[in-house]
Amino acid sequence: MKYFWTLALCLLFIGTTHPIAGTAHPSRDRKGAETLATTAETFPTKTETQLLKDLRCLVCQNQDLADSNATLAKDLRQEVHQLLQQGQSPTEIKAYLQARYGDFILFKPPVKPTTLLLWFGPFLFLSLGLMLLWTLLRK
Amino acid sequence: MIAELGCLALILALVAALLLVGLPCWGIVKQRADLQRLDSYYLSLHCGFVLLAYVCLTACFLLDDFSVSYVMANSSVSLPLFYKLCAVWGGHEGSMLLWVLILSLWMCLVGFFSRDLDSLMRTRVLIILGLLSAGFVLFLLTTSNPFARQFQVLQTSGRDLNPLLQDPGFLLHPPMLYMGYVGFAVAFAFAMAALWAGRVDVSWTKWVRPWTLAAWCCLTAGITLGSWWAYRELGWGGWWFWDPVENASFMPWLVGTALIHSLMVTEQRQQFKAWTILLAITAFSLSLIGTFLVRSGVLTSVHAFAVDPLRGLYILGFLSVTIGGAMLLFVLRAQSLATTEAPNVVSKESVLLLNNVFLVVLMLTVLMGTIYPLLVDGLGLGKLSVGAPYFNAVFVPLLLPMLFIMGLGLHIKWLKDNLKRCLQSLTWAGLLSVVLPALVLGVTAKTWQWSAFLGLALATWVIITTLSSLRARGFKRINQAYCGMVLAHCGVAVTVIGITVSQTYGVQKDLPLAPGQEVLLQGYTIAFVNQSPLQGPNYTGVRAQFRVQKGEVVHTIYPEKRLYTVGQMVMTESAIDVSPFRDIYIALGEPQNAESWSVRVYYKPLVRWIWLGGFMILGGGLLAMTDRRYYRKRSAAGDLCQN
Amino acid sequence: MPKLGWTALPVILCILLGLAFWRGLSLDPRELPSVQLGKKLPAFQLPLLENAGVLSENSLPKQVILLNVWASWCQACVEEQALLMELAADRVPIYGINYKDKPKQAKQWLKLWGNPYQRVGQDRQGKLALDLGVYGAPETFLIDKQGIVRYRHAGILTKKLWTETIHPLMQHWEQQG
Repeated sequence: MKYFWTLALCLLFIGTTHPIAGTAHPSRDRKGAETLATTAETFPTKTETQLLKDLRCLVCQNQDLADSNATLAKDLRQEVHQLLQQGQSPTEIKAYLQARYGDFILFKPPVKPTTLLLWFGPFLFLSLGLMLLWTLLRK
Repeated sequence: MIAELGCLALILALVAALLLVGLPCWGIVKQRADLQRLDSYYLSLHCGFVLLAYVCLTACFLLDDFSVSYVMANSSVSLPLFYKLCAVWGGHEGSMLLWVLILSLWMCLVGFFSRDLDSLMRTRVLIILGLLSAGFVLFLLTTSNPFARQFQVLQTSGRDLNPLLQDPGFLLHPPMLYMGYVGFAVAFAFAMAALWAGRVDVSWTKWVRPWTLAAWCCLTAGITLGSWWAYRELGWGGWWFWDPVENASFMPWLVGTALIHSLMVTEQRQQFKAWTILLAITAFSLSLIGTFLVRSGVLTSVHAFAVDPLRGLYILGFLSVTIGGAMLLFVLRAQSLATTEAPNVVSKESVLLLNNVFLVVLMLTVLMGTIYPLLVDGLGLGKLSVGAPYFNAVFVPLLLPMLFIMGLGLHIKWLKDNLKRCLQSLTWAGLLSVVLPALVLGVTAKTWQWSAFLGLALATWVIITTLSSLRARGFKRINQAYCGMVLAHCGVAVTVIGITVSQTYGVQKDLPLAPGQEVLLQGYTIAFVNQSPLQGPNYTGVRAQFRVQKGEVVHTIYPEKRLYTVGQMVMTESAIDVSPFRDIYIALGEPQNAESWSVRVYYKPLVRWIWLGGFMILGGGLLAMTDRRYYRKRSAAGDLCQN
Repeated sequence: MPKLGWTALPVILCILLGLAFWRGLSLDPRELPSVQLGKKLPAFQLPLLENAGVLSENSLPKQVILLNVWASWCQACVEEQALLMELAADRVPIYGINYKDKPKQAKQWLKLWGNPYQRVGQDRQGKLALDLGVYGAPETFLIDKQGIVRYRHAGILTKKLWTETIHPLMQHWEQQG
């Protein structure tokens, strides 16, 4: 019995710390063949779309680069596309844009001293809350 | 003339509100019952004037009175009648007036339904609500007068309502949301009245619970509708963006949920009184903070109204006074409410407290993520963006344990229980929760995704444990409120299923298509049949015909690209082929040339379940709220709190 | 003073929030600071607008200059043109980057509104602008003698901004090596 529950809880924790728990994962490729209509060039790949979703449009600041119609967004989409064609990885491209536009262009804030509270805060709050609860119940 | 009448009505409403506050308050201090009884009179007066003001503004819209600058900014002659009615709350001033109207509606409801409540308590509650209303009406009159005239632009047909808002969803979403936000003011007022009186009785919790549930139901409906509306209207296939204003509605909802659960304990065991009061104060405070965030220009958001720092300053002042005053009273009086005994480590009370801890931590997480860019900028540390990737990353790990506890908690007894016994009795449920999703995924899905399995397993766990708790409780003892709980909890599970499956197994394709071309998506053939020019009442554009076919079944849908003539704004009207188990979603992107368009097609399995779950939660709340045990007539000398 | 206990936490949180919001009212969430401050100008080679020459980071003079990003399609650029002409008359060295524009329209625009620029480079694809972190027009950069970016203003250049901020900065960097 206890082994079952231990296993279940372990699975739970593995699940939560698994990277998929965070980012919206693009689905893996289907086995069935999917023919595209007569197009010369493949439109945004899944990697590209995912990358564009993580970048903020600087003009329409509530949209990501994948969805924004702003001219700057179009230019940046082209740039991202070219860089991907050149073989750069999403991380490298993000760094490239970050060097030019700052952290603002990333929708996922980088983990650095100024964002430690942001990233670890939630778990800090939870620990604090659970501790307070435990102290209360123990009385 | 009508605008001036409306303005006058607002001023009189303010006067009535001040009298509602002043005279009964004096009556309480001086113990004069005749002054206390004036509260109903001034309440009706105040609400009547607010309604009059609202009607006047609506009339200005219907009459196309563009000398009122608010009407000019949000309407046009060619705007359909239906949208003219909605345009009243299309901008800042009008939506604030709607807020005030809804607050006076809630006040009237409280006035009407609390006839059986002890009159002193009732007066206190109405005084506090009157204070809030007075503050908002003053805000309208000083910084955001919807009736302000403009005489610079004489020949105009109006600047038109934002095309994004010209959709039927606009009729329901804002009013429903406001009903929720403002509804928490009632729980707030009850909490403050209890602190003022210095005691929290069982009858207090019995009174507060239906009001809290009502507000919470409205907010649930508002959020669900907003999400569904965004999905339909915005053309990006998304349904939640962690936008500051969405977060502003989600935070009171989280605390409201915590409050509902906490009220259960206070009602059953008279414990956690101070905590419950604090939650009631917090829920409304978050509504106010949400108002501040949206209308002050402090954050950028899709929903943000036109920015005016003076407005932001007023709201901040109002916030400080209200929340500051509430917190002060709380700190001074909380000690007198504190219960001495703590619950057992393993008991329903402690599990409910655990639920509260998680919900409050979720709320704090969302709050911190929303204002973090502001904090960093304010400290001069640069500019940051905190968007969906962050929220998804931190929210999900917090939610998963909650789902597990949700199921477990229902089987833990009040007062004292044994965890081992409880877990043992639920082993079969645990096994089923692992086996069933595995089977379903194995059979229906093409690839195995661990994230999908995890989500489905936890959702199945919640459903199985919730349904089996019905049997554990004994079918005879089930009342309407319990059914409501079951429905609401299952609704959460259904939403989780919807989110998990649509996120992990959804497919998106961007490609250029011309009429005559087609694309294959998850076994569906999607063909671009033709396109034709489009003429609407206040827009022109292109209408495309798409055929969605799988085997014998064929559906035709029509995505559009519209240009709204007045504002020269381009809008994408996406077309969705709806079915209970999947959506096929098509949106036109940019025109490539005269013939072809860049088209985005989505396959979204089970996405409708997200809102189905939302409505189940709503239904559960409604069931719980209308449970007759809250409305049985109370005997004269009965269990009312006699202060 | 009653014992606070755990109730202190929400109170402290409220106070902190209030302070944050107060501070937030005087900030602009849309404004972006430049990440290029303190960095050397990126390498670039732009064809000149006025003749067949080339504008590059090396061909810029070894003095403190203003680099102005503008375009003929940009309405706001018209508004700052008067000030730029004034500055040019005062012998302030201004160099132009014509951003994503067509040479014919650009030349016509200069004829119409005046030409305050010593030289104008054409950034047809917006590559240099991207490297500089430009996110709209107009934008003005202050470059020092070593070619290092010292200040960036996104938006219309106003007299107030010139007198209070940019002019003093220019003088400061003139004096430095």
